Amino acid sequence: MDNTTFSRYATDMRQAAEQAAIGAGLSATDAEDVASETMLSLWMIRNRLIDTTCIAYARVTARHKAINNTRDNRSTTYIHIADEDISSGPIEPSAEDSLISREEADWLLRQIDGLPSTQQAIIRLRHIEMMEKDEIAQHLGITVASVSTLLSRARKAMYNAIEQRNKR
Amino acid sequence: MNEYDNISRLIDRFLEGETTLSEERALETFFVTHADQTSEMPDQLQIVAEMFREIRAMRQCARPTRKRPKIVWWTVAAACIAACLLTFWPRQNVQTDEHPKVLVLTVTRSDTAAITQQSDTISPIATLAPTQLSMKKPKKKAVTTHSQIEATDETSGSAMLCTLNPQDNMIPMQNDAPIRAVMMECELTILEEEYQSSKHVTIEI
Repeated sequence: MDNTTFSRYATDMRQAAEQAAIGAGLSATDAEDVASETMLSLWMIRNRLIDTTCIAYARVTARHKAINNTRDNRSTTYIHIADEDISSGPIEPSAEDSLISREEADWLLRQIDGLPSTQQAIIRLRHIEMMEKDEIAQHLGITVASVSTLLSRARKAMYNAIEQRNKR
Repeated sequence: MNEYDNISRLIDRFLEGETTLSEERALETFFVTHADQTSEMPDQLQIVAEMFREIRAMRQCARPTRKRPKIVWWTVAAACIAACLLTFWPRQNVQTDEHPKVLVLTVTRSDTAAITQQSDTISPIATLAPTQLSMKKPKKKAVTTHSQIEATDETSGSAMLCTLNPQDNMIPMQNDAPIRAVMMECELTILEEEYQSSKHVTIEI
């Protein structure tokens, strides 16, 4: 899927991701964050996506992130998502989800987990690709405000990491 | 000190994700030009100076990989010559007057594409020498996107359009990563008075 095609589907993918995150039990605000992160992750693997399944991929990715998000809030220990979480999440399987086989879902989540963090990705888009915020928003199907939020979070994380490193 | 105050306010907005690209460039320029004074700066500025150093390092790491696709493009493109020949030769040899022409796209290291016409039948076109076409290479980013290569026949000045349509099964090129392999369907259309034809070829790069 090229950049143009990704952008064409971006709004639908983002909405599907947000709904999946809400369905996984997140608040509207958290779901919006998860949807933005989902879009950023999918943007990084956009060339491996195809039109017919991209929305289903967005749902699976968002659900994965939402479940991990919930678990991370409960415990700082990293817990890898179990296979059954993919198929028996809180969301009723939709026609779109059925387009993805278990193998495809496993493949997708391996790709997502192997990606650089969303924080690194947004820094890259902004400071290496030198994209304007509205350009990033358009590509990812998210709002400019969400881009600012992602950037702020990434920069603060980077700032804190350097601060901690300097203290040692 | 006043200068630092202004910079501090800008940094606050930077950390909140509220700055524009030009403001961020200004910040980066400030830290580059004041690099020798970093140790005298307030803590916040020192940390942000380090952030920009890391960002510059990321940028420098990203640059060399952007050049790799060019190497891969021209090195591996030679394979498409054989692929095209294998694809079109046998079919066209058994065809007659309706489709007597064979288009072979060759890509060489000298950034040119050559269209050769081959025919079993006698026609004015078959007597033409291979037409050399200078070919504008698409921008590297465009390699994996729907793009069109403009080409001009250097001998006759006729136009050629080559549309690149990457297929879904291509192996991706990340923004900064080298192309490993890309399958592209390439439509060639030659527009000349005597000869108007188009062919689809698949190029593996």
